[in-house]
Amino acid sequence: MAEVATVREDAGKHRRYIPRSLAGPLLVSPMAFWMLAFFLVPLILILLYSFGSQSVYQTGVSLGFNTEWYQRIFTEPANRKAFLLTAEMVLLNTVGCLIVGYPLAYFISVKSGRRKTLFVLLVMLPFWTSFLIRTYAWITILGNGGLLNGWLNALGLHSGPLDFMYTQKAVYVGLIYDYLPFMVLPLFVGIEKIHKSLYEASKDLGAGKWTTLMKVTIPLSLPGIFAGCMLCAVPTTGEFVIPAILGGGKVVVWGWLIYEEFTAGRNWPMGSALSNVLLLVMLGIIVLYIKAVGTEDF
Amino acid sequence: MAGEVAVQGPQKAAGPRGKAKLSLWDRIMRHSDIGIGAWAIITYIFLYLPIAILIIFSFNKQVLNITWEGFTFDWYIAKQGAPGQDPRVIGVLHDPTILHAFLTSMEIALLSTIVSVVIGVLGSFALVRFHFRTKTTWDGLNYTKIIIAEVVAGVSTLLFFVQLNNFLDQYVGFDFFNIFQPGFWTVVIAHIAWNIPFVVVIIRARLLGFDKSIEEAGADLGANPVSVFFRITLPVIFPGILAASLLAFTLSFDDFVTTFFVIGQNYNTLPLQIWSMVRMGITPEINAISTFMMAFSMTIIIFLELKARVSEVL
Repeated sequence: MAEVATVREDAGKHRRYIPRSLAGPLLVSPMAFWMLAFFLVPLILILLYSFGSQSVYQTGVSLGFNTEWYQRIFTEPANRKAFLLTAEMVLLNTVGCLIVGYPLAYFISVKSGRRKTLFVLLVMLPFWTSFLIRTYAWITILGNGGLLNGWLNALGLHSGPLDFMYTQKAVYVGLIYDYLPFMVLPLFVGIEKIHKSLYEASKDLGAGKWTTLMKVTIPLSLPGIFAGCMLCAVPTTGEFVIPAILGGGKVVVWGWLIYEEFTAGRNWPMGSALSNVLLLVMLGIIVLYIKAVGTEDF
Repeated sequence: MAGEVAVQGPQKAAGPRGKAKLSLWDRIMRHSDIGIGAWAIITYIFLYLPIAILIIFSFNKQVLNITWEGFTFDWYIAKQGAPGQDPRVIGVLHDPTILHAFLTSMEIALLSTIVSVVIGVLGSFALVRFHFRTKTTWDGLNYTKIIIAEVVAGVSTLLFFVQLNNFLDQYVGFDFFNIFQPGFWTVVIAHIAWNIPFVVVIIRARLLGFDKSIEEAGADLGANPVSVFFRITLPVIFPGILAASLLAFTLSFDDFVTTFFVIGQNYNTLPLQIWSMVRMGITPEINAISTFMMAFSMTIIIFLELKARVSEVL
């Protein structure tokens, strides 16, 4: 009997083969290695590359401190045009997603129980399918002689070919379509956090729905709005697949410039410089976001 | 009756005061619930209409796939070159390029999922259960990886692999069986780095909601740390691991941008195949492949929702 009791007393105190102070770093080390080696080091490498020079035979790059590529970025009008177009695209996509997504997020947040789960899932489902496919799906609808064209002609709202596909407008439709879940989910989380009694309090104090929206719902869901805007804006800056598919090569954005330098152009230092400018812009947006909401919500 | 009047009294007094204050916008918004409901329905239609049309048009007889011509299963099951059939018609199930790309995608997705989930689970444990100096660095690195535009990660990883391979060839003389030559293994490595942050986000949420006292109870009852992990911790976080695995699998299976840059010349995945087909011209075969891919991903998430309630985990 006495023996059993001793065993039980000791049961929780097994010998530690690894000191506790080392266990954390040890467990994190595979992840740390992977993220350093295959994410951070490559980012440092493109920083070095962007100051390098292209050799004549176009296979090697000699490192140095060559600012030629950055000068080209800031002086060539084509690059400036791409930059402005990208800025416009990021802005319109973010604002567009916010306008389309906010009422939807509100709609979901006032539902309850299984319905709410269902509506959230319905927003998430497209997010789980390839964005390449979702973008491509619009060609059948927006193309000349496509469905939208047919519908508008049938309704008598438009005659002849629509010329909507392969324009900037088609790109915006595709962007808002693909990025909407990035906006709606954080918005939903933000609106969901508002206590329902606050709406009742606002109503009891005589506020109408508009006043409640402007003075309660929107101000209190600001963290969600900021998070959604950041999650939309940051990846859009480097987007090139949607402009390529729906803009048909006519909509030249920053991401497309990078794509070209790393494929057909084969000027990797120039491509690296372009990537670094993009990285800087993205970090700028992230810093703005952190300034707006504080670090604890990040 | 008297009771009711007494209850209504104060409310009535408050009523007109509230109404008098309503501004023009408030009056316009009075029935906004209907408007919001209608808006939500339109948005859901906007989300699902293109997908529905994509699926419908995979059954289109017209080879150029611009307008609807008639119903056919050809884009799924037809063999190429049958008598009396347009030579461009080929069913997904008989297209060797597609099947080969599908297998490559599956192999890459399976390998990268297994490795990223193991690494991610260990990492999440470290981040949630232990305190050490570099913790915020790894957190920051993960979050940055999730949000930055994929094109930057893609081109920088390509550059890194090419440079590493040259370096190994020139100075080390051992190139690790050429795995850093852009091709199959570079995609696997890049996908693992792409998946890890997502795995960590999910597992971590699960671990934070974990009641540690049940582990202590297990230890008090005589279980050693290894059996505590396998018999208590693992079953509790299992839905999280399942969700993370399936998310990692889909991310890898659907990935285009990173794959495109690091894959080199000799391999092809399904999204890459779709990209080149879209740019060459459109036949309903792409719709058929896309339908397959979507059915695949959607089955995964619906399974996940039923088994692990993923909408609560995420």
